Amino acid sequence: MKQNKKEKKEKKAKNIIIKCGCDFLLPITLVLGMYIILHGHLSPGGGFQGGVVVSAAVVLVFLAYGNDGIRKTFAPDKMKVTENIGSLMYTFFGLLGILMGANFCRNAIFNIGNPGDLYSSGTIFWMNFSVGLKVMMGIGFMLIVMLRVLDVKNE
Amino acid sequence: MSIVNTLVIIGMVVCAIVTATVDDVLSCIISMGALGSFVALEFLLLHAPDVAIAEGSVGAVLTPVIFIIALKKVKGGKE
Repeated sequence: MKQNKKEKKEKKAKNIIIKCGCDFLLPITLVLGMYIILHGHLSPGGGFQGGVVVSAAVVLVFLAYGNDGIRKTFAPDKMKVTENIGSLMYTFFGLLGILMGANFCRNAIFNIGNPGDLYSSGTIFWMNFSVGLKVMMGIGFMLIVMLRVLDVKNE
Repeated sequence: MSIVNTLVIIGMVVCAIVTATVDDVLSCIISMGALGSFVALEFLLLHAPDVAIAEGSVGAVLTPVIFIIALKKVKGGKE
């Protein structure tokens, strides 16, 4: 009986350390991922890399709070819709080149702003953003589904 | 070639050999994650930070997490 209590106490202490670490890391991960997505045309990175960094938030929430935390935090139905909106946005900005009288995926609107500014790249910024939206929602949804399998007991 | 570059390449080779030869599956997955971070460091030293971010996030974080989920689902290969 005594040993059982001691083990419980040790388990609780470990959980507190993991929870505090994940709470500390979660906002840093989200802000770094969004920075990588939005500054894709100026600094190293882009839509795919930033999206993968943002989707690591799912793993952090699972490590700290388990499957119940994931169920409270994320909404998989809205994530599905957002992923489709991302791919539609990419197609729209690709077709914008044809509508303006040039090739597919041509940068149709340019010469806006000074070189080096955030909004200086025409449609490249928005294409990066839509790719990031699609990748972060897709990989996050895949991770949620895979982690939910752990709760199901076979046999 | 600098000393850091040589050390990183030696670490890559050691991690790859450990991944291929060790019997325990969990140690295998962890050494594969270490291999991914070494590869990301090598990309950074070769002036390709763009590829380094992709390799560091996919090879060192996402792949080991997916493999560990699968390993936990089959209960460590026992039974």
